[in-house]
Amino acid sequence: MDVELAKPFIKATKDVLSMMAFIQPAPGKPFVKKGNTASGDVTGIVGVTGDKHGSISISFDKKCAVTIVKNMLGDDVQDLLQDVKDAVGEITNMISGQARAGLAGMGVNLSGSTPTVIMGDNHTISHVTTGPIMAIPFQSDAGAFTIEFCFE
Amino acid sequence: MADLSGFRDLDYMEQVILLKEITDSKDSGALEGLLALQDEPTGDTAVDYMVTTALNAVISASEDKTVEGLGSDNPKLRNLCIKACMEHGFAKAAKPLAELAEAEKDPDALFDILSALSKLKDPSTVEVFRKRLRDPEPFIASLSLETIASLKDEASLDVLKDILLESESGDSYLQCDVTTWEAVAALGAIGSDGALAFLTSKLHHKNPTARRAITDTLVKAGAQSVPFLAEFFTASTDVDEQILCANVLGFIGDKKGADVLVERLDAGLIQDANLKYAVYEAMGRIGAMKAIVCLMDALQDTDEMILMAVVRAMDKNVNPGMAAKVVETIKSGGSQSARIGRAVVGGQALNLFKAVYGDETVGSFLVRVLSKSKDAEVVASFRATLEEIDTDRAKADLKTVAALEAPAGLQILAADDSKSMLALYRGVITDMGHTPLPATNGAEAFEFVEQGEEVAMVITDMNMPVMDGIELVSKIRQTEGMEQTPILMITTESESSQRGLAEQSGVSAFLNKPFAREKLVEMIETLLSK
Repeated sequence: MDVELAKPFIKATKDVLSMMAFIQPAPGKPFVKKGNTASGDVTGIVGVTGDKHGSISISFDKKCAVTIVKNMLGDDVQDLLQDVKDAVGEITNMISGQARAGLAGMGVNLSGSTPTVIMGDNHTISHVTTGPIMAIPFQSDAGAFTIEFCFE
Repeated sequence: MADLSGFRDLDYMEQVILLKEITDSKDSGALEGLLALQDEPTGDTAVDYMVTTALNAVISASEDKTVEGLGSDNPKLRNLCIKACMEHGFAKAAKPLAELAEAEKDPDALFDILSALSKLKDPSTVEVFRKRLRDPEPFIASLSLETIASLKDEASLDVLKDILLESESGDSYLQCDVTTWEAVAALGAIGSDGALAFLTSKLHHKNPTARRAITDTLVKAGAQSVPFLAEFFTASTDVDEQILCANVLGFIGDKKGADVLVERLDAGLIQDANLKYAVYEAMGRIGAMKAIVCLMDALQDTDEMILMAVVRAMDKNVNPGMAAKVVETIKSGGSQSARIGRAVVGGQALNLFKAVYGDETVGSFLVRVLSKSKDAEVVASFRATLEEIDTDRAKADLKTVAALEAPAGLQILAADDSKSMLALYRGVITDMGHTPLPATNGAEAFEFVEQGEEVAMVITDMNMPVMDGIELVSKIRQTEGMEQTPILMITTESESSQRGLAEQSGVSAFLNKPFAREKLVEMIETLLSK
C-alpha cells in the first residue's frame, strides 16, 4: 500500500491548506476503497510518473472549496466558479510539488503532471489503476475533503 | 578543505562554483559550514537549494559518518542523516535507528525513523515494528504491518489475527481500514499454514473490500491454500461460506480442489441450490476428470439456473464423451431436453453446440430452440458458429435462424460476475421485450450510466470484483435522474449486516437466489410499473 509514499502528501496538504487558506484540517482513519472512482463537488487530480506511477486526487465538498477561495482571495472573489477552479488547481499543484520534494529527499523521484480540476455536484472521476486505492478523509471547520492515492 | 567562512561575501557565481565543488568532492570538512548556512539561509532560493544538495552529498558520502550523525545532538543534522539512511539503505544504521525509534515521542518524526529502518529489512529490528502493529497512529501501524510482512514474521501471527477479528466487531466492518488491508496482506506474505488457515476461516468477512482482499490473497497463494479451503469447505455449515470457498477453489484451478467438491457432491451433502451452482461453476474452472464426470451426472438437474452453470462449465471442457452424453440426454426427450436446450442457447455454450451439432436430431433440436430466442446477441453468436461449421446442413439452418434487430423496449442494466447468471438475466430481459445492458462488475455497469445510457431498471449481484453491488447502487443513487430508478439486488447473503448495508445504499427490492425464472419476471414487472 506504500504508506511511506502517502505520508508526505498528507503533511503537504496540512501545510499548504493552513498556510494558504488558513484552515486546519484533521485527518481521519485511512481506509481502502475497492472502486476506482473519487467523488466530491470539486476535485483536483495529478498523475505522477518516475520511480512509481499513479495518481493522487483531492476532493472537496462545495462549502470547503468556497471557504478556501474566500480565505485565499479575501473579498476579491470575482467569478466564484472560475476562482474555485483556479484555487483548487493551485492548491493541488502546491501539495503535489511539496510532497514530491519531500519524497525526493528520501530517494523517491517522481514527476507530477499539471493538475486537472473537475467540478460538478457529486461528480465521480476515475483513477487509472488496477491497484487498491487508499483514501484519507479530513475534517476541518471549513468542511470536509478526501485525499486518495493509488500507486501501481 | 572547503572554506565557507567568507561565503556570504562571495558573489553569486563564486557561491555556486564553491557549492558545486563541495557537492562533487563530498568534502566532509564543509559539514559545519553548510549546517550553519542551512540554519541561516542566504535568501537566494537557488543558492539555498544548492546548500541542501551539497549537504545531502556530504552526509551520504560516508556510511560511517551518517551513522555517527544519527547520534548527533543537532536535530537538523540527525534528520538529514535519517533521510540519507532512508535513501541509501545504510545497513550499519539498523541499531542506532532502532534506538532512536525507542526514544522518539513525536509521531511524525517516529514515522520518518521507522520508514528508514523498514528499508533495511533487518530481521534484528523486527521487535521495533512488532510492538507498533497496534499503534493508534494508523500510518505507523500500517508501516509496521508492511515491514513485518516483508520480514515474514510468524511471531506476529496472533496480533494480525486480532486485527482482523476486531475489524468485524461492532460497526468497524462498515469500512475497510488500511490496517485491516495491511493485516490481510501480511498474513498472505507470511503464508504459513497457520496464516492461510486463519485467512480461510475469514473468507466471509463482513466488509466486502476486506473479503475481496482475503479472496485474492488465497487465490494468489494457489495450491498451498487448497488443503485449508478443502477442510473449511467440509467443516463449515454456513452456505455463504461454502459458496465463497467453492469460488476460491475454482479460481485457484488446482485439481486437488475438485476432489473435495466431488466427494461432498457424491455423498449427497450438497443440496442447497446456490451452493450447487457455485460448485458446478468451480468445477468448470478446474476442469479435472472427476469434476467432468460429475458435471455429466448433473445434466439431470431440473433447476434451470443450475443447469445453466453445468452447461457453461461443460462448455469450457468439451470432450467427445461429454458430447455423447449431452446427445444421449437430449435425445431421451421430455422436459429435460427442453431445459438443456434452453441452457445451451441461453448460456451461449458455443463449444458444446459445435460438438453436438454433428448429430442431426440434436443439432436440429437446438436450432429450433435457437429460432425462438429474442436475444439478438445470442442469435448472432450462434449464427457465427454455424457459419464456422459450414456444412450443408449448417448453411440451411442459417436461413431458418434469422438475424435479429436489437429489440426496442426499455434498457435494463444487469451486473453479475457469474457469466451463467448474466446469461439468465439476458434471457429473461430479452424475452420480456427489453434490451439488456450486461456488465460483469459494478464498474462496468456504472460505465453504462456514465455514458448516458437510458436505464429503466438495474439488476445487480451483491459480491462482485472491482466494484461490488453496494458501491454500484450508491453511485447510481448519486447520479442525477437515477435517484428513483428501481434497483433489484440478487443475493445469496443471509447475514443481516450485509442486507442492512445494501438497504442503506438505496436498493429498491431484493431477490434471494435461488429463484424461479417466473419470480424474476414478476419482480421486474412490478418494479417497472411503479
